[in-house]
Amino acid sequence: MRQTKKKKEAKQNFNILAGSKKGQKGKRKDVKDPHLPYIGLSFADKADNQKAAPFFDDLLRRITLPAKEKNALIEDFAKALKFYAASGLSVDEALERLDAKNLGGFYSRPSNTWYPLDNAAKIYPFAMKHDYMSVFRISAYLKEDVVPEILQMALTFTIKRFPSFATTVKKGFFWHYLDTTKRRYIVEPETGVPCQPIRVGRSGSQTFRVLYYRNRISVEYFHILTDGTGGMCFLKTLISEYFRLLGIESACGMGVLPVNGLVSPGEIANEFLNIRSEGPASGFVDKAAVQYGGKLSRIKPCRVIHFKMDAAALKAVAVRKGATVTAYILSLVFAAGKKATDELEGDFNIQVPVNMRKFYPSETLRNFSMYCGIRIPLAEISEPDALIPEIMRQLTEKASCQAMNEMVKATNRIVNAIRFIPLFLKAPVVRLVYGFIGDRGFSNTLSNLGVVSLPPEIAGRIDSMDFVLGAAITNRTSCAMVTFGNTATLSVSKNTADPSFEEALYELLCRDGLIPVVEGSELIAD
Amino acid sequence: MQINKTYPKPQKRKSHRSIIIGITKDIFLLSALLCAALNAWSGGKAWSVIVIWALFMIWTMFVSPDMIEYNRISQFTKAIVQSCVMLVLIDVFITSGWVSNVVSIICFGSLIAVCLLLYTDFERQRRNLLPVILLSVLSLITSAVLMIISKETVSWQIPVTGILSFAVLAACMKTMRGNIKSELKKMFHTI
Repeated sequence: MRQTKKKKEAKQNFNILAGSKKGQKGKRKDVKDPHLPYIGLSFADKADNQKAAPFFDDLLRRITLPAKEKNALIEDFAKALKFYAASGLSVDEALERLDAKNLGGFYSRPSNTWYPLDNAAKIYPFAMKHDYMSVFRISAYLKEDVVPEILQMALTFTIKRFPSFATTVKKGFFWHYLDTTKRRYIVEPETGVPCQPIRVGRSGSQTFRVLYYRNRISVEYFHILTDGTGGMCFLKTLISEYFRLLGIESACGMGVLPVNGLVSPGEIANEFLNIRSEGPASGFVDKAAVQYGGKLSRIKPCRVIHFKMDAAALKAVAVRKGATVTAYILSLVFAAGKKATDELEGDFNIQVPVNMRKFYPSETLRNFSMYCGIRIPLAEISEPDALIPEIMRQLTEKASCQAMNEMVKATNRIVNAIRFIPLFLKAPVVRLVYGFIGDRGFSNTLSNLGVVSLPPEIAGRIDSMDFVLGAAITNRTSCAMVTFGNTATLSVSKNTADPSFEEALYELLCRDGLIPVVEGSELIAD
Repeated sequence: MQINKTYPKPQKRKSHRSIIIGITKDIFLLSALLCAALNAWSGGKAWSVIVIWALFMIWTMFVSPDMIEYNRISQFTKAIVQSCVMLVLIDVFITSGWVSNVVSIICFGSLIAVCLLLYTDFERQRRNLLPVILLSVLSLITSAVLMIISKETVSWQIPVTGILSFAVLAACMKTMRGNIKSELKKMFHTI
């Protein structure tokens, strides 16, 4: 009742008639740009009208996008103002939060910049198929439902700070590249399966998507743009801006970038080029690993499952067993995997991405990670605890700076060897080779983003986070983990309907006293 | 293990392209192999090369189109280049002596068409200049080579195509204006 009254008052005070018949009859003569939708602002107080008019004038000056995009962007502002009005916010405060200065010059300057792909990203355009694309997703669960109008504005203001994200994938003569695209980047309600391929073919397509569902904000990235660290930085900055627009100011730092700050060249650097290419190069191709059983689903992933558990308890269990959290979870993944296959011979090999920033401190938001494989013969897999020493040993050895350097060198050498071959010649060959190798060298993946921290002003408004890897080609599952606050979330992306793996994992977690809350999506039957 | 659903019920997937690709891939491969085998068995002209190229064209244009740079200019130039290759193959393997004139007429027409595609939606299409440049360069080189190797039999359309290609290249350079260096670096970067 109180809310209805509030809304009514707001409507009287702050009547935005975007596109309505009433509005069109009203002041259409005053509209200078015939392409713009009619936006009539009618406040009870005439002084408020006078305040709003220059705001929209300023806005129009700062947007030089094509008419359709321009209209949509201005409508976004109108919708946000409408939300503020309904929330009972004063006009001054609303206009201050939405200050057009936050657009910077992003929407007014032509797009002339471009970015060559970093060395890790060069493979992704070749590996794409119509039903497969390397996509990952990071989500934050807020304590209240998401306000889409404000999230849209947050993205509109945030995107300029991440110029390498405001891009479209294009073909050059020798390599693909990222071409800056000035457009209205959109947020969408979540409707489909997580981590589905993003359509990047059309002129000016987005290479990431921002989704919302109830209290969850998710960003799905084509891996060509960034890795988990860069993706997390974007999500944190987006959330911080979202909360600023809701009146909760927070300091920058802890991975939150100032949206109106200057872009540092280091943020868009291809750091692989800074690693010297002498010495041995290895670790790129591995022999085939045993795959889990179960028919591969047509839609990948066909299900996403999150195991949410107490982070302190998880850490305590890992310490008790003399392992790191990653090594402990790996031991469970190995043991659970054995229950998901009928094979008796061969090795399980679990891919573990390694953040190169550990060895080479860098502020880059592009890809800067490599991977190692933790390999254990099936015959040696029994109890998870017995696997921990071997996993710890392999992690220390294979995820070391030297091993990663060797892999970077191998990558750099391959890139250098084929750099002068035209794309139309190298694409079919690389596709063919990738088709043979693919992900057959691994049985599963475990990517641990670690503990995520946020400024205290906003950390208290977020419940948890999750990190989901998109579909693999032949691997039946991919696992990813992130910890926020006291919640560690282990996410499993499934490419088969066979539930053996996750059921075994759940049992193992419960056996160690970590009773997880299990959430997820529906299983999509073929 | 009880799974709480925290995702919306997925909508029915609209695209069935992956299923179509899965089904037709084997049919296409089998057809190509059968044609080659039949042609080898029956002897005579190598008509199977043309059939295989046609299958490849259908595959790349309709069944499994590009996932990157799927825009009107790139698709149009791709269709033109592939059609010209098809004509050359027909000329080489089936009946010869006409291809240079026909291909140059096609290039002539397609250069005009591609300019129309570019300049009728310039705001968006100016980002897709590379296929236009490549088509023009290819036409220019082909015209020049034909004029050099068969200057006796060359007819009017070949020099005209060469001149038109040069004009389109000049127009592209003008379109890029002050950014020529940066645009060319972008298109031809090797890092």
